[in-house]
Order: sequence, then C-alpha cells, then structure tokens
Amino acid sequence: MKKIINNPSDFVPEVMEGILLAYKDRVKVLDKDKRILMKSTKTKKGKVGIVTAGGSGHLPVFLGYVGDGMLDGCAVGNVFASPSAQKMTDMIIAANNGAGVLCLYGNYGGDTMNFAMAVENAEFENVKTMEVLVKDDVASRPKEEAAMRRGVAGMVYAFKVAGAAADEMLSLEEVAKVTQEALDHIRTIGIALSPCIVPEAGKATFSIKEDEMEFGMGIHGEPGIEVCTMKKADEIADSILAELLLDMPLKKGDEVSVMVNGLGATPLEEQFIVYRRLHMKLAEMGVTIFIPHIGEFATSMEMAGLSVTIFKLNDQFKKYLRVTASTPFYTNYNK
Amino acid sequence: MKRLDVREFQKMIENASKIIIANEPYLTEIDTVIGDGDHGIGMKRGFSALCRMLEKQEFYEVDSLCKAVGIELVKSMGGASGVIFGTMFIGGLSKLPHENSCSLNQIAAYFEEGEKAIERRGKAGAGQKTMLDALIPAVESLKRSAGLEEEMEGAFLKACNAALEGVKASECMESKIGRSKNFREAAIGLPDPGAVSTSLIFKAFYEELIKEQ
Repeated sequence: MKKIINNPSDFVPEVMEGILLAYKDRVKVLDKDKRILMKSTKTKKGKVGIVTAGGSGHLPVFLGYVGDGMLDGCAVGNVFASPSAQKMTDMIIAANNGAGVLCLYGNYGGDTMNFAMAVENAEFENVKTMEVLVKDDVASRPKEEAAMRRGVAGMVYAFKVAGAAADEMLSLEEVAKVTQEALDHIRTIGIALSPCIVPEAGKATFSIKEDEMEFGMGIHGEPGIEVCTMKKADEIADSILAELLLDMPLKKGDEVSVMVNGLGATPLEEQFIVYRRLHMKLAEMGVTIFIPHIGEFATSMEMAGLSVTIFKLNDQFKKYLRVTASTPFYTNYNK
Repeated sequence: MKRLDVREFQKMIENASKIIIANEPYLTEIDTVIGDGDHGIGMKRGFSALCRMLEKQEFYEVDSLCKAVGIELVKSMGGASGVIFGTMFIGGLSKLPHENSCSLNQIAAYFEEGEKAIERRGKAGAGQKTMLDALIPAVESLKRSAGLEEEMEGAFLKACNAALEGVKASECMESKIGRSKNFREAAIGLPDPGAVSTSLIFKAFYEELIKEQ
C-alpha cells in the first residue's frame, strides 16, 4: 500500500478536519460530530431540506455537495461503509426548516437500511421525510432489474436538481417528484483500469491485468459487465455511449448534459479526450450538449478509470442545472 | 439452568464482543475475497465500543441490556453490519421481560423476532449467503429446545452448532444480496463473513454460559 496518510484508522477524521479547516465559512459539523456535515450559510425558512449520506472514499461525493444550491447536510461513513442510522437521524432533524426533508442517496444495502431506520426515527420526532434513491448505474443490473441498480456519479445531477427545486420553495412532494423524474433520465457507465485500496484493509479491492480494463465497474470495485483488453479512448467512448443509448435511446433534437467523471487516478486530459469523442458522436446524431461536466465528481480513491453520465434534459431540468450552486467542491460558474 | 440472569447474559454478550474482536483478522481475510474487506474492521469497531460500554455499565433488566447493546452497535458500527447486528439485538425487544431474568421461551422468541426484523430491514431470506443463514438455524434450534423445555446450556450448545452448520452451508451458496453478490464465483467455497460472525456470537454465548457453572 502506497498512500499519503497517517494512521489508517485516522483516515476519515483527518479528511474531515482538513475540509472543516478549509471551508469553515461555508460548512460546519453538527454538535461537534465530525461525521455530520451541514451547510452553514443562510437557508430560507420553509425550504425543503435535502440530505444525503454514504461511505467515505468518493470525494467530492457525498459531502462535497453540501452548500448553496445543493445539499443541506451529509452524514459521513467510514471508507465505503454507510454511516449509522443515528447520525442520519440527527442530520435529518437538523436539516428540517419546517418543510420536511428529502433523503437522496445511492442504492446500496447499508445506506438503504440505515436510512430506513433513520427515517422512522425522524418521523417519530415529527419531521416529514421522503426518500429518493439513485440507481443510475446501467452496468450493475439489466434493464428489467433497473430497480436494483447501484447509484453512481449521476447522483450529482440529482443533488443539483433537488437543490434547485428546493430553492424554488417547492413542497417536499414536488421536490421528490422532480428529482425522481430527473433520475429517470439519468444513466451512467464506468470503466476501471486499476483497483483502489481501502486504507484500513490495506489491500487492493480487486486485481486487474496490466493490459485489461473492466467495463461497467462500480465505484467500490464491483465487477461490471466484462473484463476486456485495454482499448483506445475513442473505442472506449463509443462502447460506453452504445451501452448508454441502449438503455436510454436519444434522437435528433434531444438535449443532454454529459458528465465525464474521473475515478481518482485518471488525468483530466484523458477525460477530455473521451469527452471530445462523445461530443462528436452525439453531434452526429443531432443531440446537443448543455453544460458538460468534466472532472472528478464521484471518485473511488486511487482507482484509474472514468464514468460517463448522460442526463436527458427538458426545459425545467435545464433551468435547474443553470441556476447558481456553490459548494466547497462544486460550482457551475465555470460550466 | 432454566432462567437466564441479566448479569449472566451481560457476560455472554461481553464474551461475544471479545471473540469478535479476536477474530477480526479472519473475518477480514474472508471478506477481502468475497466482499470489500471491511466486515472484520466494522465488527471490531462496533464490538469494541460495545465492550467498553458493558464494562462501564451494569444492567438490571434483560430488555434494558439488549436495547443498550443494539443501540450501541448501530451507533458505533455504521455500514450494513451496524444495522443488521444492531437489529439482531433490538428487533425482538418486545419479547423480553422488564425483569432481571428470562426464560428460554422468551430468549427464543426474542431472537426470532430479531431475525424477522433483519429479514424485513434487509429484504433478505434464507439461502442468499448472508448472516441469516447462520441466524435462522440458531433461532430454529432455540425454539425447538424451548418447546422441549431443555436447559439453557444445552439449548445454547445446540443453537451454536446449528449456526456453525449454517456457516458450512453458506459456503456453497451463491451470493445474491449485499456487496458480496458482486463476487459470485469467487464467493463459492467460502462462508459468508456475516454468518461466521453470527456463529461466533452464539459460540461465545455458550462458552461463557458453561464457564460460570
């Protein structure tokens, strides 16, 4: 293991300390608990609270999107492990501005079970909640089992939509509805070239040969559709696009946002090479791209590889992507 | 022994914590092959916190003890394991008396309710290569023993053996749920780490129970 860390068991607390020191003007912890990050900037009274939670090891997901225009709170777990239901409960209660709280998170066993318990607890404290689960990873399950798919980088678009809808002072039901509608139009596929290492485990999560890549891999190293020989950027972009279009067909005149997301160890340059090809292919089809997102949005420690997300837009979603958001890890001023 | 005293039960749970902590390397080893390698770490974290809590605090009613145990596990462990093993202790609380001891019947009903709560929470059942494959046979065994009005010691020995057989059976199962489902082929031949943990808990219960005699 070659990592720039101190004691492996201090990994998460030290990451949190760094973030809090860097962005203390915009985020804060709840009751000195370094596992619950809340927005500290002004929040309109009566705005629906938007919260998420998940394991560490994916920055900027999840906590990086706590801030103006996106999330009100995030409970932080250990590396690749859900935070506890208790932390989620405290966070939900703190994020309630009187209009209820939307729990928006990826479809993973630990997160769904802890959120289920947290939501029961919060309702007991008279906080109205709704849950929307992100299931955008096309490679994790075939189309007929789409309800069981994992949540990956597409959740960033969902955070943006939910945050913007909440800022419009829509009701909890309306925010949940529009966020779900957005997710119905969001698809992602990832490829991995190398594994990642959970600090406390100290070993790679899987192994992959030097000349191979894994097509469809999840952000914890979950196996994808197939292991194949390494290909050129254009071929990779083409296979990803073909797979995404199979699941969510696009036609001439459609507008989409495209996210090319580096998994941690893939240079931005390579991400732009892939974006270039995707853009050309979509243009050939008569599909236009609105606010492309290229960079690291949902990583998997030092994993090399990237994911591509397509978000099929309508006027409302375009407006929600455009409206200002500014968190320690996300801004759309530069997009 | 026909009734389980709260102090005895507390020692049994303390022993289970110690056994889980001691087995962290083994749990990590199997989870590295069929999961993402963090089951042992999470269990050690949770049961270390539980151990510290039990050393500091004394309980006078069995339901209060079990409630505190479950809450501590959910709180300190996180992950899927935190909810699952926490629910194992919280899910059946209504079946325990607010008294300083309980009967085998109550113990069996308590773990049965806990098991059902895990099934509901995890949307899982038997045969999916999860901790339930050890817990379900242990619960069935406790219920049988309760029906036959067996002694506490014999009942826990049988429950422990049933859990161990469940672990063995989980070895040839294909994983259908949880993160290990992503390691389908690699997972065959290895037991489910959660099932191993469950069997360790029942084994520790039994060993502590007979130590006191």
